[in-house]
Amino acid sequence: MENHLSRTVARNREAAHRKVEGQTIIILPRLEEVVVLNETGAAIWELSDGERTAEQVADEIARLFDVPIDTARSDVRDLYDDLIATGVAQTAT
Amino acid sequence: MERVLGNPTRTCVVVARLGYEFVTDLPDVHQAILDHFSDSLSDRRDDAALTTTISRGEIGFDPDAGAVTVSASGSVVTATANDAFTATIDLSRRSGELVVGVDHLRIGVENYLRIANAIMVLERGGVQLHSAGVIRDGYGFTFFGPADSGKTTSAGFSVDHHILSDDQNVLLPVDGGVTLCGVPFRSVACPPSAAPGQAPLLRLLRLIQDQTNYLEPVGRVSGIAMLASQCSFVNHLPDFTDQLLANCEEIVKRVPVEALHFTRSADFWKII
Repeated sequence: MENHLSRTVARNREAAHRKVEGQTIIILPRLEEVVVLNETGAAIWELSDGERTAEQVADEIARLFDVPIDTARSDVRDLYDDLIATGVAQTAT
Repeated sequence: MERVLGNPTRTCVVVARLGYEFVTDLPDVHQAILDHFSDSLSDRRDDAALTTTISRGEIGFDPDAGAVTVSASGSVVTATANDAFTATIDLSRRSGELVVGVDHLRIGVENYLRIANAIMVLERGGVQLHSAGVIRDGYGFTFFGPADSGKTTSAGFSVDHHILSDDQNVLLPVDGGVTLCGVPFRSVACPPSAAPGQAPLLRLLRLIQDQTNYLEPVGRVSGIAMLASQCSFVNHLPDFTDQLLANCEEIVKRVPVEALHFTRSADFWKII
């Protein structure tokens, strides 16, 4: 858990995105699939600038969506695993 | 590179309302264009969207070489396909240079045109969609999905109607609606009756093979994602993906995507 919270993740610079009805559609060129994120997922993705740590992103998510910090941490961890697996984001440190 | 002295021939192929002028001094290349695009030729050349000079080079064809490779840098797009051709398209100058392999004139020219048109229709707010297109009673139906989802199958079960293509079609927002435009890009298994045409798009159907036939609504966001994922070439180019998503959103706003669960028979026509 500690490793997960100290890591920084950056959006893939090649990814194009568009917000529609509160959700975000992401196209990563060279991927077959297009990724759709819900509002929370989109916020996490947008906060993933390669500078903020996962802990800082989770803090911000907890504040923005008024959810317990443990829930936010879990959301960030799970989404980061998915985003990195698909190539939409990558570990910066 | 082979060159033949003499006056180059000029041929215009119209694809989804866009004129593509080909200039070549090679008689067999000219003839290959006339033969392959016989149902899409036009005399209009003064307003060509893209003028392309074709030459022929010693490019071997390797069927194991993989898919088409396309990249973009600024306004210049470069493409190669299975070593059948190499090409450069300068969008700012509306010009292209195409070198086709000796034994693959048709493949080279068609693949080049597929890529060029996928890019050019984006500028007009449209998309070139990996899909089957059919006109029934004056209205357009588009069946789309990834490989093996049933595009050629659905076209095959539509021989009583006007089949446009089983592989690629263009969707253009026009006058508050969307126009389905056939393009001369088809698979080898496409019913031979397929021919160009266009019609107001009535249904935008994501194919899902199933045990029964039924329609299922698809949310707008999912619909946009489904469309964008099936717009070949341009969804692989970072310079074009913003425009692609914007165009898909506009199209889906006008004609929502529906999921068509269908059996391998013509019965699906009864529910659409």
